[in-house]
Amino acid sequence: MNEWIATLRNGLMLENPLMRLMIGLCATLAVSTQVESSFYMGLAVIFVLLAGNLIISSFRGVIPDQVRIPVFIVVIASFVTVVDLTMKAYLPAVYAVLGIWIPLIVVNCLILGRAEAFAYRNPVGLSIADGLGMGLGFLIVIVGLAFFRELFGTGSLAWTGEPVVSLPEGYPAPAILVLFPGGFLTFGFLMAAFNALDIWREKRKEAGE
Amino acid sequence: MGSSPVRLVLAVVVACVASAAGLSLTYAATAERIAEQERIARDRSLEAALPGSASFEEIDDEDVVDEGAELTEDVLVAAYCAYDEGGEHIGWGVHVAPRGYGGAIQMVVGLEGDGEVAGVSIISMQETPGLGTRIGEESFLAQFTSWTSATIEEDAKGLDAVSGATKSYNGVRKGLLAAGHVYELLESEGGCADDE
Repeated sequence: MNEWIATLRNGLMLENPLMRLMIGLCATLAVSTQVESSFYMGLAVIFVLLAGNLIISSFRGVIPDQVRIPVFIVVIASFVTVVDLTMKAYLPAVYAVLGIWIPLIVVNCLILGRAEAFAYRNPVGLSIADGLGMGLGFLIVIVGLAFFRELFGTGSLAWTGEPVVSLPEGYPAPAILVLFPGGFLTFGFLMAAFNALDIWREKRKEAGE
Repeated sequence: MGSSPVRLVLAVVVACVASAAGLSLTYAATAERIAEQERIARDRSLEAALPGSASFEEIDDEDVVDEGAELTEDVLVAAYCAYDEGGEHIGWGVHVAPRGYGGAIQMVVGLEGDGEVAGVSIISMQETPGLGTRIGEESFLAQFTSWTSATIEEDAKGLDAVSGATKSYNGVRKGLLAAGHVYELLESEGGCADDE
Protein backbone atom coordinates (compact mmCIF):
# COMPACT_ATOMS: atom_id res chain seq x y z
CA MET A 1 0.00 0.00 0.00
CA ASN A 2 2.87 2.37 0.86
CA GLU A 3 4.42 1.68 -2.49
CA TRP A 4 1.08 2.40 -4.15
CA ILE A 5 0.83 5.82 -2.53
CA ALA A 6 4.49 6.56 -3.25
CA THR A 7 3.89 5.82 -6.95
CA LEU A 8 0.83 8.05 -6.97
CA ARG A 9 2.72 10.90 -5.31
CA ASN A 10 5.59 10.42 -7.70
CA GLY A 11 3.39 11.50 -10.61
CA LEU A 12 2.08 14.49 -8.72
CA MET A 13 5.39 15.87 -7.48
CA LEU A 14 8.80 14.22 -7.92
CA GLU A 15 8.18 13.08 -11.47
CA ASN A 16 5.38 15.40 -12.46
CA PRO A 17 5.02 14.76 -16.20
CA LEU A 18 4.94 18.43 -17.18
CA MET A 19 7.20 20.02 -14.56
CA ARG A 20 9.80 17.28 -14.15
CA LEU A 21 9.74 14.78 -17.01
CA MET A 22 8.64 17.51 -19.42
CA ILE A 23 6.62 15.20 -21.61
CA GLY A 24 3.24 15.90 -23.18
CA LEU A 25 4.09 19.59 -23.54
CA CYS A 26 2.82 20.05 -27.07
CA ALA A 27 -0.87 19.67 -26.26
CA THR A 28 -0.40 21.42 -22.93
CA LEU A 29 0.95 24.63 -24.41
CA ALA A 30 -1.75 24.64 -27.09
CA VAL A 31 -4.78 23.84 -24.94
CA SER A 32 -3.93 25.80 -21.78
CA THR A 33 -5.63 28.95 -23.00
CA GLN A 34 -8.96 28.16 -21.34
CA VAL A 35 -9.52 26.66 -17.92
CA GLU A 36 -12.62 24.72 -18.94
CA SER A 37 -11.13 23.02 -21.98
CA SER A 38 -7.91 22.33 -20.04
CA PHE A 39 -9.92 20.62 -17.34
CA TYR A 40 -11.62 18.30 -19.82
CA MET A 41 -8.31 17.72 -21.60
CA GLY A 42 -6.90 16.66 -18.21
CA LEU A 43 -9.81 14.27 -17.65
CA ALA A 44 -9.36 12.79 -21.12
CA VAL A 45 -5.65 12.23 -20.45
CA ILE A 46 -6.39 10.64 -17.06
CA PHE A 47 -8.86 8.24 -18.66
CA VAL A 48 -6.52 7.22 -21.48
CA LEU A 49 -3.55 6.86 -19.09
CA LEU A 50 -5.51 4.75 -16.62
CA ALA A 51 -7.15 2.52 -19.21
CA GLY A 52 -3.97 2.19 -21.25
CA ASN A 53 -1.81 1.40 -18.24
CA LEU A 54 -4.37 -1.10 -16.96
CA ILE A 55 -4.57 -3.05 -20.23
CA ILE A 56 -0.87 -2.94 -21.02
CA SER A 57 0.10 -3.95 -17.51
CA SER A 58 -2.45 -6.79 -17.45
CA PHE A 59 -1.18 -8.26 -20.71
CA ARG A 60 2.51 -7.45 -20.25
CA GLY A 61 3.27 -11.17 -19.86
CA VAL A 62 1.88 -12.12 -23.26
CA ILE A 63 2.90 -9.13 -25.39
CA PRO A 64 6.16 -10.10 -27.13
CA ASP A 65 8.95 -7.57 -26.64
CA GLN A 66 9.53 -7.04 -30.36
CA VAL A 67 6.00 -5.88 -31.15
CA ARG A 68 5.20 -4.10 -27.91
CA ILE A 69 5.24 -0.61 -29.46
CA PRO A 70 2.63 -1.40 -32.17
CA VAL A 71 0.46 -3.07 -29.54
CA PHE A 72 0.75 -0.04 -27.22
CA ILE A 73 -0.23 2.27 -30.05
CA VAL A 74 -3.27 0.19 -30.98
CA VAL A 75 -4.45 0.08 -27.35
CA ILE A 76 -3.86 3.80 -26.77
CA ALA A 77 -5.41 4.86 -30.09
CA SER A 78 -8.52 2.83 -29.28
CA PHE A 79 -9.04 4.50 -25.91
CA VAL A 80 -8.46 7.91 -27.43
CA THR A 81 -11.10 7.18 -30.06
CA VAL A 82 -13.51 6.17 -27.30
CA VAL A 83 -12.91 9.54 -25.62
CA ASP A 84 -13.24 11.31 -28.96
CA LEU A 85 -16.62 9.75 -29.79
CA THR A 86 -17.98 10.12 -26.26
CA MET A 87 -17.03 13.77 -26.06
CA LYS A 88 -18.55 14.47 -29.45
CA ALA A 89 -21.79 12.86 -28.30
CA TYR A 90 -22.10 14.27 -24.79
CA LEU A 91 -19.93 17.39 -24.56
CA PRO A 92 -20.21 18.99 -28.01
CA ALA A 93 -19.41 22.47 -26.69
CA VAL A 94 -16.13 21.32 -25.17
CA TYR A 95 -15.31 19.23 -28.21
CA ALA A 96 -15.77 22.27 -30.41
CA VAL A 97 -12.93 23.98 -28.50
CA LEU A 98 -10.56 21.02 -28.06
CA GLY A 99 -11.13 19.74 -31.59
CA ILE A 100 -7.95 18.22 -33.01
CA TRP A 101 -6.21 17.96 -29.63
CA ILE A 102 -8.34 15.02 -28.53
CA PRO A 103 -7.32 12.70 -31.39
CA LEU A 104 -3.77 13.96 -30.93
CA ILE A 105 -3.62 12.42 -27.44
CA VAL A 106 -2.65 9.25 -29.35
CA VAL A 107 0.77 10.70 -30.05
CA ASN A 108 1.12 12.43 -26.69
CA CYS A 109 4.45 11.18 -25.40
CA LEU A 110 3.10 11.18 -21.85
CA ILE A 111 0.81 8.24 -22.59
CA LEU A 112 3.20 6.15 -24.66
CA GLY A 113 6.01 7.09 -22.30
CA ARG A 114 4.22 5.73 -19.24
CA ALA A 115 3.17 2.58 -21.11
CA GLU A 116 6.77 1.87 -22.06
CA ALA A 117 8.51 3.11 -18.92
CA PHE A 118 6.08 1.93 -16.30
CA ALA A 119 3.04 -0.17 -17.19
CA TYR A 120 5.01 -2.69 -19.27
CA ARG A 121 7.34 -3.40 -16.36
CA ASN A 122 5.13 -3.16 -13.28
CA PRO A 123 2.13 -5.00 -11.78
CA VAL A 124 -1.41 -3.85 -12.46
CA GLY A 125 -2.03 -2.15 -9.11
CA LEU A 126 1.06 0.03 -9.33
CA SER A 127 0.35 0.83 -12.98
CA ILE A 128 -3.04 2.18 -11.98
CA ALA A 129 -1.40 4.33 -9.30
CA ASP A 130 1.08 5.57 -11.88
CA GLY A 131 -1.66 6.40 -14.40
CA LEU A 132 -3.70 8.21 -11.78
CA GLY A 133 -0.73 10.10 -10.35
CA MET A 134 0.66 11.12 -13.73
CA GLY A 135 -2.82 12.04 -14.96
CA LEU A 136 -3.61 14.16 -11.92
CA GLY A 137 -0.18 15.77 -12.10
CA PHE A 138 -0.94 16.66 -15.72
CA LEU A 139 -4.43 17.97 -14.90
CA ILE A 140 -3.25 20.20 -12.05
CA VAL A 141 -0.45 21.78 -14.04
CA ILE A 142 -2.46 22.31 -17.23
CA VAL A 143 -5.36 23.87 -15.33
CA GLY A 144 -2.93 26.06 -13.37
CA LEU A 145 -1.33 27.25 -16.59
CA ALA A 146 -4.71 27.90 -18.16
CA PHE A 147 -5.92 29.75 -15.08
CA PHE A 148 -3.06 32.20 -15.35
CA ARG A 149 -3.18 32.56 -19.13
CA GLU A 150 -6.94 32.94 -19.40
CA LEU A 151 -7.36 35.28 -16.45
CA PHE A 152 -4.51 37.63 -17.30
CA GLY A 153 -4.56 37.14 -21.07
CA THR A 154 -8.25 37.82 -21.63
CA GLY A 155 -9.22 39.61 -18.43
CA SER A 156 -11.78 37.06 -17.28
CA LEU A 157 -12.35 33.39 -16.55
CA ALA A 158 -15.25 31.61 -18.22
CA TRP A 159 -16.99 28.32 -17.41
CA THR A 160 -19.56 26.94 -19.87
CA GLY A 161 -19.42 30.26 -21.69
CA GLU A 162 -20.34 32.36 -18.65
CA PRO A 163 -17.67 34.61 -17.15
CA VAL A 164 -17.04 33.56 -13.54
CA VAL A 165 -14.23 35.89 -12.52
CA SER A 166 -13.51 39.19 -14.23
CA LEU A 167 -10.64 41.58 -13.74
CA PRO A 168 -11.64 45.22 -13.34
CA GLU A 169 -12.79 47.04 -16.46
CA GLY A 170 -9.93 48.74 -18.27
CA TYR A 171 -7.36 46.02 -17.58
CA PRO A 172 -5.23 45.97 -20.73
CA ALA A 173 -5.26 42.22 -21.39
CA PRO A 174 -1.97 41.30 -23.08
CA ALA A 175 -3.01 39.00 -25.91
CA ILE A 176 0.49 37.53 -26.02
CA LEU A 177 -0.39 35.40 -23.00
CA VAL A 178 -2.97 33.41 -24.93
CA LEU A 179 -0.70 33.16 -27.96
CA PHE A 180 2.10 30.60 -28.22
CA PRO A 181 4.90 32.79 -26.76
CA GLY A 182 2.72 33.34 -23.71
CA GLY A 183 2.41 29.60 -23.32
CA PHE A 184 6.19 29.17 -23.18
CA LEU A 185 6.66 32.17 -20.90
CA THR A 186 4.00 31.08 -18.42
CA PHE A 187 5.33 27.54 -18.49
CA GLY A 188 8.85 28.81 -17.77
CA PHE A 189 7.73 30.91 -14.83
CA LEU A 190 5.65 28.08 -13.41
CA MET A 191 8.62 25.75 -13.64
CA ALA A 192 10.85 28.30 -11.91
CA ALA A 193 8.30 28.51 -9.10
CA PHE A 194 8.19 24.71 -8.90
CA ASN A 195 11.98 24.56 -8.64
CA ALA A 196 12.09 27.33 -6.04
CA LEU A 197 9.62 25.38 -3.95
CA ASP A 198 11.79 22.28 -4.29
CA ILE A 199 14.97 24.09 -3.26
CA TRP A 200 13.21 25.68 -0.31
CA ARG A 201 11.96 22.30 0.89
CA GLU A 202 15.40 20.78 0.49
CA LYS A 203 16.98 23.56 2.53
CA ARG A 204 14.40 23.22 5.25
CA LYS A 205 15.08 19.52 5.43
CA GLU A 206 18.81 20.09 5.76
CA ALA A 207 18.32 22.71 8.43
CA GLY A 208 16.11 20.32 10.33
CA GLU A 209 18.71 17.57 10.39
CA MET B 1 12.66 -13.46 -25.28
CA GLY B 2 12.87 -15.21 -28.65
CA SER B 3 9.32 -15.26 -29.93
CA SER B 4 8.45 -17.04 -33.14
CA PRO B 5 7.22 -14.86 -36.03
CA VAL B 6 3.81 -16.49 -35.76
CA ARG B 7 3.48 -15.38 -32.16
CA LEU B 8 4.48 -11.82 -33.04
CA VAL B 9 1.87 -11.60 -35.78
CA LEU B 10 -0.70 -13.19 -33.52
CA ALA B 11 -0.12 -10.66 -30.72
CA VAL B 12 -0.64 -7.69 -33.01
CA VAL B 13 -3.65 -9.25 -34.74
CA VAL B 14 -5.35 -10.07 -31.44
CA ALA B 15 -4.73 -6.53 -30.17
CA CYS B 16 -6.19 -5.07 -33.36
CA VAL B 17 -9.26 -7.30 -33.39
CA ALA B 18 -10.02 -6.60 -29.73
CA SER B 19 -9.61 -2.86 -30.30
CA ALA B 20 -11.81 -2.91 -33.38
CA ALA B 21 -14.52 -4.74 -31.47
CA GLY B 22 -14.42 -2.23 -28.63
CA LEU B 23 -14.48 0.69 -31.03
CA SER B 24 -17.40 -0.58 -33.07
CA LEU B 25 -19.38 -0.97 -29.84
CA THR B 26 -18.54 2.60 -28.82
CA TYR B 27 -19.40 3.84 -32.26
CA ALA B 28 -22.75 2.07 -32.26
CA ALA B 29 -23.53 3.53 -28.84
CA THR B 30 -22.66 7.11 -29.77
CA ALA B 31 -23.37 7.44 -33.50
CA GLU B 32 -27.00 8.41 -33.12
CA ARG B 33 -26.26 11.01 -30.47
CA ILE B 34 -23.42 12.49 -32.47
CA ALA B 35 -25.63 12.89 -35.55
CA GLU B 36 -28.32 14.38 -33.33
CA GLN B 37 -25.85 16.86 -31.77
CA GLU B 38 -24.67 17.91 -35.22
CA ARG B 39 -28.23 18.46 -36.37
CA ILE B 40 -29.04 20.47 -33.24
CA ALA B 41 -25.94 22.64 -33.68
CA ARG B 42 -26.86 23.26 -37.30
CA ASP B 43 -30.49 24.12 -36.58
CA ARG B 44 -29.53 26.36 -33.69
CA SER B 45 -27.15 28.28 -35.95
CA LEU B 46 -29.76 28.54 -38.69
CA GLU B 47 -32.32 29.88 -36.22
CA ALA B 48 -29.81 32.34 -34.77
CA ALA B 49 -28.87 33.59 -38.22
CA LEU B 50 -32.45 34.07 -39.32
CA PRO B 51 -34.63 35.34 -36.48
CA GLY B 52 -38.20 34.16 -36.71
CA SER B 53 -37.43 30.98 -38.60
CA ALA B 54 -38.75 27.66 -37.36
CA SER B 55 -38.03 24.98 -39.91
CA PHE B 56 -35.51 24.39 -42.64
CA GLU B 57 -35.26 22.38 -45.78
CA GLU B 58 -32.01 21.68 -47.56
CA ILE B 59 -31.93 22.73 -51.17
CA ASP B 60 -30.76 19.83 -53.31
CA ASP B 61 -31.37 21.52 -56.65
CA GLU B 62 -28.30 20.71 -58.75
CA ASP B 63 -28.08 24.17 -60.26
CA VAL B 64 -27.75 25.72 -56.83
CA VAL B 65 -25.42 23.10 -55.42
CA ASP B 66 -23.02 22.86 -58.36
CA GLU B 67 -23.02 26.47 -59.46
CA GLY B 68 -22.87 27.62 -55.88
CA ALA B 69 -19.78 25.54 -55.27
CA GLU B 70 -18.19 26.94 -58.41
CA LEU B 71 -19.10 30.57 -57.71
CA THR B 72 -17.80 30.46 -54.15
CA GLU B 73 -14.77 28.28 -54.85
CA ASP B 74 -16.21 25.46 -52.79
CA VAL B 75 -16.88 27.61 -49.75
CA LEU B 76 -20.60 26.80 -49.98
CA VAL B 77 -21.57 23.72 -47.97
CA ALA B 78 -25.34 23.77 -48.18
CA ALA B 79 -28.23 26.15 -48.58
CA TYR B 80 -31.54 25.86 -46.78
CA CYS B 81 -35.01 27.27 -47.38
CA ALA B 82 -36.21 28.79 -44.15
CA TYR B 83 -39.85 28.90 -43.09
CA ASP B 84 -41.54 30.56 -40.14
CA GLU B 85 -43.94 28.78 -37.82
CA GLY B 86 -46.81 29.14 -40.25
CA GLY B 87 -44.75 27.46 -42.96
CA GLU B 88 -44.26 30.66 -44.85
CA HIS B 89 -41.01 31.09 -46.76
CA ILE B 90 -39.06 33.92 -45.12
CA GLY B 91 -35.58 33.54 -46.48
CA TRP B 92 -32.53 31.34 -46.80
CA GLY B 93 -29.85 29.98 -44.56
CA VAL B 94 -26.52 29.65 -46.32
CA HIS B 95 -24.00 27.30 -44.70
CA VAL B 96 -20.50 28.29 -45.77
CA ALA B 97 -17.10 27.05 -44.62
CA PRO B 98 -14.41 29.63 -45.44
CA ARG B 99 -10.84 29.02 -44.34
CA GLY B 100 -9.81 30.72 -41.13
CA TYR B 101 -6.56 30.41 -39.23
CA GLY B 102 -7.16 26.95 -37.82
CA GLY B 103 -9.09 25.31 -40.63
CA ALA B 104 -12.58 25.86 -41.96
CA ILE B 105 -14.96 28.13 -40.07
CA GLN B 106 -18.38 26.52 -40.26
CA MET B 107 -20.85 29.38 -40.34
CA VAL B 108 -24.38 30.23 -41.41
CA VAL B 109 -25.47 33.43 -43.09
CA GLY B 110 -29.18 34.15 -42.83
CA LEU B 111 -30.63 35.97 -45.84
CA GLU B 112 -34.05 37.54 -46.01
CA GLY B 113 -36.18 37.29 -49.11
CA ASP B 114 -34.85 40.58 -50.51
CA GLY B 115 -31.21 39.63 -50.01
CA GLU B 116 -30.67 41.49 -46.78
CA VAL B 117 -28.42 39.78 -44.23
CA ALA B 118 -30.58 38.90 -41.24
CA GLY B 119 -27.75 37.56 -39.15
CA VAL B 120 -24.61 35.49 -39.05
CA SER B 121 -23.82 32.67 -36.68
CA ILE B 122 -20.92 30.30 -36.27
CA ILE B 123 -21.53 26.56 -35.98
CA SER B 124 -17.99 25.58 -35.15
CA MET B 125 -14.44 26.80 -35.58
CA GLN B 126 -10.90 25.92 -34.60
CA GLU B 127 -9.56 29.44 -34.27
CA THR B 128 -7.09 30.45 -31.56
CA PRO B 129 -9.01 30.58 -28.29
CA GLY B 130 -9.23 34.12 -26.94
CA LEU B 131 -8.09 35.67 -30.21
CA GLY B 132 -9.58 34.15 -33.32
CA THR B 133 -12.60 32.96 -31.37
CA ARG B 134 -13.56 36.59 -30.91
CA ILE B 135 -15.13 36.43 -34.38
CA GLY B 136 -17.93 34.57 -32.59
CA GLU B 137 -18.71 37.55 -30.39
CA GLU B 138 -21.99 39.35 -30.79
CA SER B 139 -20.39 42.77 -31.32
CA PHE B 140 -18.42 41.47 -34.29
CA LEU B 141 -21.18 39.43 -35.91
CA ALA B 142 -23.78 42.17 -35.44
CA GLN B 143 -21.91 44.29 -37.99
CA PHE B 144 -23.20 42.18 -40.84
CA THR B 145 -26.87 42.67 -40.15
CA SER B 146 -28.60 44.73 -42.83
CA TRP B 147 -25.88 44.26 -45.41
CA THR B 148 -27.52 43.46 -48.71
CA SER B 149 -26.31 41.09 -51.35
CA ALA B 150 -26.26 43.93 -53.89
CA THR B 151 -23.81 46.06 -51.91
CA ILE B 152 -21.95 43.31 -50.09
CA GLU B 153 -18.62 44.03 -51.80
CA GLU B 154 -18.81 47.67 -50.72
CA ASP B 155 -20.03 46.84 -47.22
CA ALA B 156 -17.15 44.45 -46.68
CA LYS B 157 -14.65 47.28 -47.06
CA GLY B 158 -16.05 49.13 -44.08
CA LEU B 159 -15.94 46.12 -41.76
CA ASP B 160 -14.23 46.52 -38.39
CA ALA B 161 -11.44 43.97 -38.12
CA VAL B 162 -10.54 41.84 -35.12
CA SER B 163 -7.04 42.88 -34.10
CA GLY B 164 -4.59 40.02 -33.80
CA ALA B 165 -6.83 37.69 -35.75
CA THR B 166 -6.65 38.85 -39.35
CA LYS B 167 -6.99 35.41 -40.85
CA SER B 168 -10.06 34.53 -38.78
CA TYR B 169 -11.61 37.85 -39.67
CA ASN B 170 -10.82 37.44 -43.34
CA GLY B 171 -12.45 34.01 -43.23
CA VAL B 172 -15.73 35.41 -41.99
CA ARG B 173 -15.60 38.17 -44.56
CA LYS B 174 -15.02 35.63 -47.31
CA GLY B 175 -17.97 33.63 -46.03
CA LEU B 176 -20.20 36.68 -46.30
CA LEU B 177 -19.05 37.44 -49.83
CA ALA B 178 -19.71 33.82 -50.79
CA ALA B 179 -23.20 34.02 -49.32
CA GLY B 180 -23.76 37.16 -51.40
CA HIS B 181 -22.91 35.25 -54.55
CA VAL B 182 -25.15 32.39 -53.56
CA TYR B 183 -28.08 34.73 -53.04
CA GLU B 184 -28.27 35.50 -56.75
CA LEU B 185 -28.59 31.78 -57.47
CA LEU B 186 -31.13 31.29 -54.73
CA GLU B 187 -33.26 34.10 -55.99
CA SER B 188 -33.48 32.71 -59.50
CA GLU B 189 -33.36 28.98 -58.78
CA GLY B 190 -34.37 28.90 -55.12
CA GLY B 191 -37.15 26.39 -55.55
CA CYS B 192 -38.46 26.77 -52.03
CA ALA B 193 -42.03 25.60 -51.53
CA ASP B 194 -43.73 28.88 -52.20
CA ASP B 195 -45.56 30.89 -49.65
CA GLU B 196 -49.11 32.07 -50.06
